Amino acid sequence: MTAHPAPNARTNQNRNADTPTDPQIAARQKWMSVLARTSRARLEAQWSENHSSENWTHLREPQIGMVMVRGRAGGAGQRFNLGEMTVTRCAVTLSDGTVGHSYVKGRDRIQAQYAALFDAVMLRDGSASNFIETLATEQATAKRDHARKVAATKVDFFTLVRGDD
Amino acid sequence: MTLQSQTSDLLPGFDHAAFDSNAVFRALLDAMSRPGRIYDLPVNVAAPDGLNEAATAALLAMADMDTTVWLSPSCATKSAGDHLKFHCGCPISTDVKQADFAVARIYDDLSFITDLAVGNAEYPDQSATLILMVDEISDHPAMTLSGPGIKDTHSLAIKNLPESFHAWRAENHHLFPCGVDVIFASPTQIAALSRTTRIEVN
Amino acid sequence: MYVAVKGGERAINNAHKLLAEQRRGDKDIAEIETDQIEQQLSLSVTRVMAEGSLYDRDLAALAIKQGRGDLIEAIFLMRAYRTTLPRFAFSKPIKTAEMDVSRRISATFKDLPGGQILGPTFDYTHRLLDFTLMANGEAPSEAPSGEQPVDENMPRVLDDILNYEGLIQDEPVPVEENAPVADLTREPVKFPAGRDLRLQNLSRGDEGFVLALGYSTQRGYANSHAFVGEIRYGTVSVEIEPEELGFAIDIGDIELTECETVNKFKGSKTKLPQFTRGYGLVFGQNERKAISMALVDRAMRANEMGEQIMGPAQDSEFVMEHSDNVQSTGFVEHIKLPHYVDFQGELELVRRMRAEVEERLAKSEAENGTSQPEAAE
Repeated sequence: MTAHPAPNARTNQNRNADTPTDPQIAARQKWMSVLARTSRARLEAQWSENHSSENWTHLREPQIGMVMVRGRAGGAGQRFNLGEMTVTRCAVTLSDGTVGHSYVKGRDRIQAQYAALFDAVMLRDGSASNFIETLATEQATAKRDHARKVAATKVDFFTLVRGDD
Repeated sequence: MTLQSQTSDLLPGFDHAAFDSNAVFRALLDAMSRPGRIYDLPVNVAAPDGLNEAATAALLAMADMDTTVWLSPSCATKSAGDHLKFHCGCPISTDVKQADFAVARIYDDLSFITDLAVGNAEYPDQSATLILMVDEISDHPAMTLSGPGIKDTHSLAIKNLPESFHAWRAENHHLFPCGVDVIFASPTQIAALSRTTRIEVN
Repeated sequence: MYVAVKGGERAINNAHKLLAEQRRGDKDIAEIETDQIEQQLSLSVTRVMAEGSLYDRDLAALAIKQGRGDLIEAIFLMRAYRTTLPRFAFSKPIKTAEMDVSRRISATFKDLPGGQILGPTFDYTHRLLDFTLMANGEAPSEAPSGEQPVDENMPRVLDDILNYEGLIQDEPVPVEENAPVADLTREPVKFPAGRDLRLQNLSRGDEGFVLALGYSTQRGYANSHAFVGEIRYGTVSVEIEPEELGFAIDIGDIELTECETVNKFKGSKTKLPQFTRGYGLVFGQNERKAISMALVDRAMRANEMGEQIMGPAQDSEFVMEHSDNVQSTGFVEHIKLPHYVDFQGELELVRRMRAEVEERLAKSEAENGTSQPEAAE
């Protein structure tokens, strides 16, 4: 049989729908997510090339810890604790008092520090917008390239008729 | 901008997170093991409005996202809340029964203390710790302490400690192994009363 | 009873040095790098992360190297390391519906929206050893790409397709969405355990143990006949809401394998027959574990379904108390450590009992002139 998605398919994992509609917050969420996926080397190089004159201090030194990842039974039901992942966080203050934050997967303190610095710069005057834009495009392209390789493994099974006739 | 102002007036936490929290933890451990003995706060730390230095240091060392903190109305300032949320990541509850750490000033209405969690026979460790901010701790013989961790007796004086505290503390002592432990925090010193400590008021 | 023994310090140090030397092996062979393990033994890495219950590929690779490839030893190292780290946050429940899939198949519906996506699988390989890999074989050619990428949001088979007709039970969500979620790393496990605790336990449980139990449910040791409704493997983003920010942020992607099984339920006087479900979710790419987990999850729901308990997989206490390989290893292997005093006690007891029996025999022999041994007690 052919399965059709229910017209009223409750894509019910959106139960705890993300609240923020504040465009400022949405924009910040976007760049923080891009920064969290960018390598330390890339961030470091960009910073020393374009922002090395910034004066800043640590509000919180890079710190390694964990996040307990949660899932839902059946994908949409009761919540449960799946397991932990390593995370590094950092907070920095620019000379004008702007505070940047980062929480990034893994244990790279330097990556977390630069992610926080770029967050601060973006908050202050958006002066890393082009960089963020480039990174976002690259990440989208990489994701799409992978998704195309995966698509090449899409298969159509057909059921052979069983029996004599 | 709202996003910036959210955290830009935050005070720093410990200068050296690992060493300082270790030193404060050690002081608290010693204080709890030797009830009534007075320990100097081993670090310098900035206190947000609503908390004093020693209470802040104790929370920075002890509180994290697994411990719920309750702040008395006079301590529950925005800057204290922001400070703890940022540096400790601890949940702050307005329900004193949920508290793992309850923080109050000695001049507050202390009637909440009877609502603090005392743990249960199976898990007596699931009790609250009261951090009471005081002006001055000394070894004047206002109280004579005895019990585990005290060789014979020990003297302790907490300036302006109300009578009701002693009444509650006497009840609390009988709950062993359950019960609440108390940390007195002056701006520069700490002393502790374990749930096992007997107090004689002189 | 445990009695400490002292001494042997030099022997222990030397044993550790010998261990290090053997770990390194022949020095004429290049030392293995942890990033090689991370990249090329990625399914070992996956298992160590899942059962170590800590998602960190580099650490898992290091643990595998240090443990000489003994994955349970590596899992032990991961567990030990994680106790040194503070916990910053709980994530928001991850959304597997939004997974960037690398694989997604259903055994129940042939034609389903989004398609059957095989992805990187051992299925349909011939299981013939490939000797070119040994002969410094050439790098594989690049995998081909499709014209279009796979769909971004694939419908979930159970919720979005089967549930349409009410043919499958709904996943119950507690009325109070902010109800506490049990965490076996923080609170001692008590029975009967809720499903949250059972799923956490299974996800970090030993793959071999969960596999064997899952298999047992198929062989009649549970009232269970399951189909794989859907398996998906890929990456999902993890979101947390730090206290100091007050809004959710995305901190990066993790790989997960999810399996949902569909099991027949015959219905009852008040309920129509419908399908029930089992759920498996594990770190990394590991569908053997995810399927097994779903089978055992379903089996452990026996009480909830009013089913007769007929096999160990349905007994939550049995399953959960024996699924953890670090815990099991600790207790099984501890009996090799010095028990000299305990054993001396046992030895003395057996000697005394023997002496008593011998004395009695001698006495009865003297009285009756015959020996009549009694049955052993």
